[in-house]
Parts: sequence; structure tokens; C-alpha cells
Amino acid sequence: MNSAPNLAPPEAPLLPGGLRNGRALWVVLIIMAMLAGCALLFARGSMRLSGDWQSQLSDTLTVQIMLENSEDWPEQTGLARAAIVTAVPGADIELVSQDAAKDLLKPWLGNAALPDDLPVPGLINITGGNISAARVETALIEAGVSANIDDNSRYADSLRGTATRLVSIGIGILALILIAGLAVNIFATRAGMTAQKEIIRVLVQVGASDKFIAKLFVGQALRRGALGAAIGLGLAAVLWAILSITNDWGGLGWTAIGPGVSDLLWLIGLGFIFALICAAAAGITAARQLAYERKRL
Amino acid sequence: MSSLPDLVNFERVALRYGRGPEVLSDATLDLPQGSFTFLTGPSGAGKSTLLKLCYLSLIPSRGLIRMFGRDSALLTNSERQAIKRRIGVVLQDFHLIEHLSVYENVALPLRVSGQSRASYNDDVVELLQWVGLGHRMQAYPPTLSGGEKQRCAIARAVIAKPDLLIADEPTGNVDPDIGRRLLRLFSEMNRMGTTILIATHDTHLIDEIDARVLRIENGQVFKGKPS
Repeated sequence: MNSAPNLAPPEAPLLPGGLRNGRALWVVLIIMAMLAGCALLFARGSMRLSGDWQSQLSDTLTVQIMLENSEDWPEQTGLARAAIVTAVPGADIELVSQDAAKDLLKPWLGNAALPDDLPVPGLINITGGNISAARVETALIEAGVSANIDDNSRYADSLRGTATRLVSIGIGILALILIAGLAVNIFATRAGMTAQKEIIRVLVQVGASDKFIAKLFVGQALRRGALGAAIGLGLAAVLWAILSITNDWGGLGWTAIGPGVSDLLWLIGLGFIFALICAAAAGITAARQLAYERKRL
Repeated sequence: MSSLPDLVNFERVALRYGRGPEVLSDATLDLPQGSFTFLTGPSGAGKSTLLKLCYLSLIPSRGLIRMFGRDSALLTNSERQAIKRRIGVVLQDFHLIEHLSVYENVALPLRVSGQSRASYNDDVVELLQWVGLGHRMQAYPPTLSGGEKQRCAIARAVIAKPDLLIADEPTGNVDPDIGRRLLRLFSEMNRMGTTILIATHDTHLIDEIDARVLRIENGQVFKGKPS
């Protein structure tokens, strides 16, 4: 027997779908994906900025040389400098001049000229190299220099705490948005099943299993979630990049999209998770709803 | 009397919707394998309800229904769906899926059972031509006439070569010529081994072929035409 000509139209999805259906749901999903993307980029940006700052602080030491009188400044700073050079050979050592040190007191003492005999502490900034506050302290004691060493640990701890809180806030917001996404998809699937009641009835009548029907809703939700995530996360990346370029964030050095492609990879991963959440919500809801309908029969 | 086992067996089956009166009470009937049966009775007698019980769309309030030798109350979900795949159903209101073409509506049982389009294309096209819908293959249900919808529903019910075909007024919306043609299709399927149960008011249809006749009166099932 000859094969019948294939005059049939291309296979259509069993559930009506597409962008034209449920525009409001599309808008909600896109906005949620965008907010999730912003929360992720905020958390990543906070983490990166905190890391940069901590790294800068851990590379820096400030030595305050305590003087009995101002005439000791050249001798004591010279001794201290020599001791530090020996203790941390690779470091960059900057001796702050006496005038510059006096300027640093102005915020507390005002702009009036300071007396010449005021024993302003000698300041030495040490940057880079393998800095060890303990080694510098030992070297200064051995050289007979009385000094305080500020290794910025107080600021670093405070900064670490703030950064942890910011990252936690970002992750918390992201988790809430994903939970909301789950709830929206549960609601949308229930509404979809009510709207497609006649189609489901026909499918059941021709012998479709619950799994088969649930898969249709999973496929629909997966496509919807993936496209919503692609658009929403793309918008988030663009928005974040624009904010980063057009604002200096008070000189904080905030960068939206991290160096390399790490943030983009995180966004793609979030997109997968978002789509999977949409699909899982649809699958579980459809299966439960079908089982419930069967019990009501 | 056929020696073949019963495909469907009702024992003192009753059904009521909610707290309403019993639509069926103590209905007892059997459909032997390979039989051709007409089910008749006045409007509202419970013909459609009895058919729904036969294709497992309702669960009886009491009584026992055996389908393909299995107690329907003990079927698991997968067994129930497997039995449904062996039953073709034509309903009065057709239940066609509006966003699918005629071709896809007819191919639905095969698609649901996991068959590839290539494996069923010839069968679907041939059947559509046979029921006079070859030229309407790409049309969508909202554009079909009542008769065309009915033929589409019948084609969908028979495409998977079911063991049991249940039809509710299958010739109600078609002209006499198409009606006779459809009845010939049912007879041919019956000759090939399909058990047929047709609910109808049409006494001419019942007279067309030699078949068993059951009638529903007062919620009970009797043998023979109405007097």
C-alpha cells in the first residue's frame, strides 16, 4: 500500500500556550527573574567589594612613633625606618613628613598653627610585601623605638561583619523571590488546569496517564520559566551594568558585573534554577491536582 | 448465546449524583466480547450515565462493575488508564480539542500512547478520507459543521482499534447517507472483533442491523426494544 501523503499540519502542542497566553504571568515572571538577578548581583558585588577592601587593609600597617620632644623626630624615625627595612625587606615604606603628620591633627585641633615643640608622633606607612605586625614590633623594640602599630584589624573585622550582613541580605532577598516564584507557578498551574479542564478531560478519556498530563504542564512551565528568566536576568545584567557605569557609588569602587564571566555564569545558573523551580512547581501541582480530581470522581 | 467472556458486566449497579435521586438503580447487564448492542430508552432515563460508568468516567454509588474481567473498584490508576486506552468513546458533545486540527484530534489516542507520527500518519489519513473528512484534515473544530465534528469524534474513537467502542447518539447530527456509512464502519469493526455499545433514540438505526437491544426504564436495564 502506498503511503498516504502527509498533508497534516505540523504537530501542535497539546496545551495551548505561547506568549499571547497569560501575558500578565509573563510580566510577573520577568520582573521576578529581574529582581532575583539584581539580588544575586548585589550579593556578589558586596562579596567582591568586601574582599577587595579586606585585601587592601591586610596589606597595610601604620607605625606611630611616640616622641618625648619634637627634636627627636629625625633620629627616632630614622631608627624605626632602618628597623622596619630589616624586618620586612620587600615592603614599600613611606615616612610621613612632620608637616604632613601635623596636618592630620587639624580635624581635631583646628587650623591654628601648632607650636614647634609639640611632639607630633612620627608616622610610617608600610604597604605590600609579607607584612607581619609582630615582626615589625619586635624589630622596633630591639631598636629602642617606642611605637604603636595599627594593623587595621579593627576596621577589617567591622568591614567583614558589614559585608557578611550585606551578602546575607542579598541571599535572603534572592531566596524570598525564588519562593515567591514557586508560589506564583503553583497558582498559575492550578489556574491553567482549570482553564484547560476540557482538554484534560479529553486526554484522560483517550487514556493519558496523570504523568503524561503533568508532563505537559511541566513542559509549558519550563519554557515559560526559561524564557522569563532569560529576559528578566538579561534586564538585570543590563540595569546593573548601567548603574555601575553611571554612578561611582560614593567612591566605594562598586562594580556591577565582575571581572571575567563569573557573574554572567552565576546569572545563567540562576536562570536554570528559576526555570527548574517553575517546572517543579507545575509538575507537583499538576500531579496533586489530578490525584485530587480522581478522588473526587 | 455467545460463549465468549463478558467484556463489561454490571451487577445491581446504582448511581446517584450528590444527594439527588438514583439515576440508575439495580442495573444489571453484560456485554459479551464481540457483541453489538444498542442501548435505548427515553430522554433522561440514564443512558448517558450508564455509558459513563462503562467508560470509567463515573464510579457507581453501589453495585459491581467488571471491565475486561476486572472489578473496576479495585483498579489502580495505571490499570484504569490502560483499560481506558482499550475503549473508544464518542460523546454527544464530541469533546474535540479546539486548538488542534482535525488530523491531530483524530491522532490523539495514538499520540497519547507514545506512538510516533510517522507510524500512524497513513492510518489517520486513510480513516479521515473514509469518514469523508480527507479535505478537512487541516481544519480546526470551530470551523466544522455538527456532522463533521461528529465524524471527527468517531474517527478519534476508532483510530486506535479499541476492544470496546461506546457511542452516544453517534448518528444524531449526520445525514442519512453518512449515518449508514458510519453504521457500516461500526459493523465492520464489530466483525473484526470490536465490541460495540451504541446509545440511540433512532429506531431506524436499530432496525438497520441485527444486534442486541437493551432499554433503560425507571433506572433499570431490560432486554429488547421498547414496546
